[in-house]
Amino acid sequence: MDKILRINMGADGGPQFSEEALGDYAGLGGRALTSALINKEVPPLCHPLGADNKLVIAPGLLSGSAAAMSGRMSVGCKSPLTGGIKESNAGGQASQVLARLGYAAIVLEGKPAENKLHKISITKDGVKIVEDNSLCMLGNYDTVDKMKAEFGEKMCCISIGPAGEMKMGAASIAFSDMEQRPTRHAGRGGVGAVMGSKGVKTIVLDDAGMKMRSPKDPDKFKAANKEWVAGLRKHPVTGEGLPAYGTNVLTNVINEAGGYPTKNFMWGQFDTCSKISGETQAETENTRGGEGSATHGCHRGCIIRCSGTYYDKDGHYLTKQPEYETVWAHGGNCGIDDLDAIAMLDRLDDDFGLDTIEMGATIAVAMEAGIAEFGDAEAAINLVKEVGQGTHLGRILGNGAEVTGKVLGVERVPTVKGQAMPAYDPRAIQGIGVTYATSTMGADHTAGYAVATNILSVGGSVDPLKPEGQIELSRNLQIATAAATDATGMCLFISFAILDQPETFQALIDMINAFHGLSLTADDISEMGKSILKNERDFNARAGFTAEHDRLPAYFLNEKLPPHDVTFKVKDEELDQVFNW
Amino acid sequence: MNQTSNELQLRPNTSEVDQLVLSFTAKQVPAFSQFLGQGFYVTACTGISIKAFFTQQLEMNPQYLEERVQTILLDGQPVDDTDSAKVINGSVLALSAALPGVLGATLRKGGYYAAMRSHITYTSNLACEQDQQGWVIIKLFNLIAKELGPLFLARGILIQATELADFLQRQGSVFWRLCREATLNGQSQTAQNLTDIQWPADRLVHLQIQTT
Repeated sequence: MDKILRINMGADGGPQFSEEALGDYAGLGGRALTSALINKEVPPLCHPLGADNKLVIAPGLLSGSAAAMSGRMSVGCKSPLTGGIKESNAGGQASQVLARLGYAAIVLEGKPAENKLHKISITKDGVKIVEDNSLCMLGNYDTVDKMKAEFGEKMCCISIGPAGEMKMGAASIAFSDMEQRPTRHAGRGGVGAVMGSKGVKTIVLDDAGMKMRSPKDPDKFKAANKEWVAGLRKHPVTGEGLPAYGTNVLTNVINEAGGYPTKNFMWGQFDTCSKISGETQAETENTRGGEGSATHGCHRGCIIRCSGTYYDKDGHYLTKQPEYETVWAHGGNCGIDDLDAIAMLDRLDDDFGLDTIEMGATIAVAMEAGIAEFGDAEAAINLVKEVGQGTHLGRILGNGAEVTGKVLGVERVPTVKGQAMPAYDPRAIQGIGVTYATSTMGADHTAGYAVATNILSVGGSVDPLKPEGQIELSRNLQIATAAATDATGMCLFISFAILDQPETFQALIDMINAFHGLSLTADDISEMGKSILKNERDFNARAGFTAEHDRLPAYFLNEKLPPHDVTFKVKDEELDQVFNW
Repeated sequence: MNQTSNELQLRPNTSEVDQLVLSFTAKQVPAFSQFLGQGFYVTACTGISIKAFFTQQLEMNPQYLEERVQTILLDGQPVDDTDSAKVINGSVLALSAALPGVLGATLRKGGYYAAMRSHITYTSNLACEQDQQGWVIIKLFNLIAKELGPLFLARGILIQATELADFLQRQGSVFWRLCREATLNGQSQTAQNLTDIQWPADRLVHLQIQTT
């Protein structure tokens, strides 16, 4: 993983590629690499769909190795949805395969003069870029099937659906899973639209003939990996809760706590949420049975296996197990309590190449505008189909909640920096509201995850039972998340094991050190996180973002959220302190 | 406003309670997590701490409450101290094992990230009389439902008949094939009989799951 593959889609005479050494980007992986490159090479004021924007696809520092859980892939660009810097990441097979092919990143640059589609294949024998307009407006499922027929059963696919081709702000990039289905998505921020603007429909990867990446110190690496796996397996979240119920285990509890955004963030509880809870979902999947039903990994090397496979009532494959965010966005947020309908919406999103969070939030805004009734699952399905077909209404919806709210005259639009909020109401959980407001990415729950800030000591000590700690906690979480998971290529769900078990966190650091021949400490990890955020803040500032963009929409400050009847109380001057470290 | 038709009433009408017993073989008990998650009534001696309620009245292992139960919500408010938070008549108590996500960490009792939800944290110190007989609604989620649910179901849980009717009508042939016997108020019932019953809206059912 010592080279960068640059593909200039706008070169004279057709697309051209080149390989180069890492240079200034040596030692960086995942989000650290994407954000450094975008900040250095992309003009902040460029049009996100123009030739000057770049799309960076980068595996993490440990991807392609034997390290468990190291299969996340980061995608970076200037976002068409937010206008700021974007890092969106996904699971699936591609991260491991691209790393084994030796690439620290693929960078798509330029823009073809004509509106043509291309497929790119990367193997040990080299890179091929071929125009293929037969792929035009195919869904991700059909695209992957065609690539499988052409390149064989062992390839993996990075692709966009019709939404990416239509350059929609909610367009995602799909990464195929172990079963070669396009179920894992870099969903947030419209990264699929940027890939579409480059005229690239799919990138096919095959690491046949390549070996697993080797650590500098194999014995230490092996010992650390063993400790790492043991730590993940013994923790109740990573070893029991997530495998049994997936991320949707959160639904019942968040609803009970009054923080479950319901019907476009009007209430904090959804009265029939138990019908779509993780417990009900797991029971449904277990009852229907089938391969990988309630417990399944999204890539080889995953030992948590928080995912699953959703079969319809007749036992036919429909989609992967919808995640908590998806079940909320298309479920409670739209007043829908039908798991089969939500699974169908997830399937459509995956096939058209759409961010499930953005689409669910958008449909809820449209429902508030009267386009459909809250709770009408069939209408929601038809609206997503309109997006996939590119009807006039579909084009509006496909550009996200903020655009839809403006077009339809809705005030209650839950976005920050143009990106829709995920499944936690910031009035109930105000610390998450701080992260929503200040994240460089727009409203994003994964920007400040439950990473071991207590161990990293990134921002001094915080009394957990005093309310004034929210700014510090959000800051520390954002720093730690950027470094410990997004840059390493580790799945976000390792967070709990490293939060609670210092020996497991040490095992992660030991693995990185043994693999790369380094001697990083927890402090170094913190510095890496700060460096990532500095790059992103610098880009956003030059793109025109100010402190005024680090705010929640006004209605969160004025409208009380039942049942606790709370408003967002964190003051602007406090929000402005998040990045003062 | 949001509908609350499925919310349990804080003052259950216990004047008429039907007794439903469903029997299954031990290895083939269907999941009843819907009832455990929506909540069921338990008679309680109120005015005592949450810890005393669970460990003394319901005989829960104190270590289980301390370690396995990571999140407790009292009337929707996260609890940090089970010694000081009091159970009163009509309290709704929800229990969860460790949860993923930043919110999972935030909702933990006494957790490092508790400040992030300080605006909804349980803080009430209402004076209340001890040893009053009353009702409490208990909700069990995820692994806690899996582990404690069978114990509560074996003792029997008090639920709204309309919820039970909805549940029974949605069950397929697999459920009824596994059910070896069903009795309502001591009378043997067929699946058809049970699913045809039109229960009054305020009727309660004591549902007991027997295993053989």
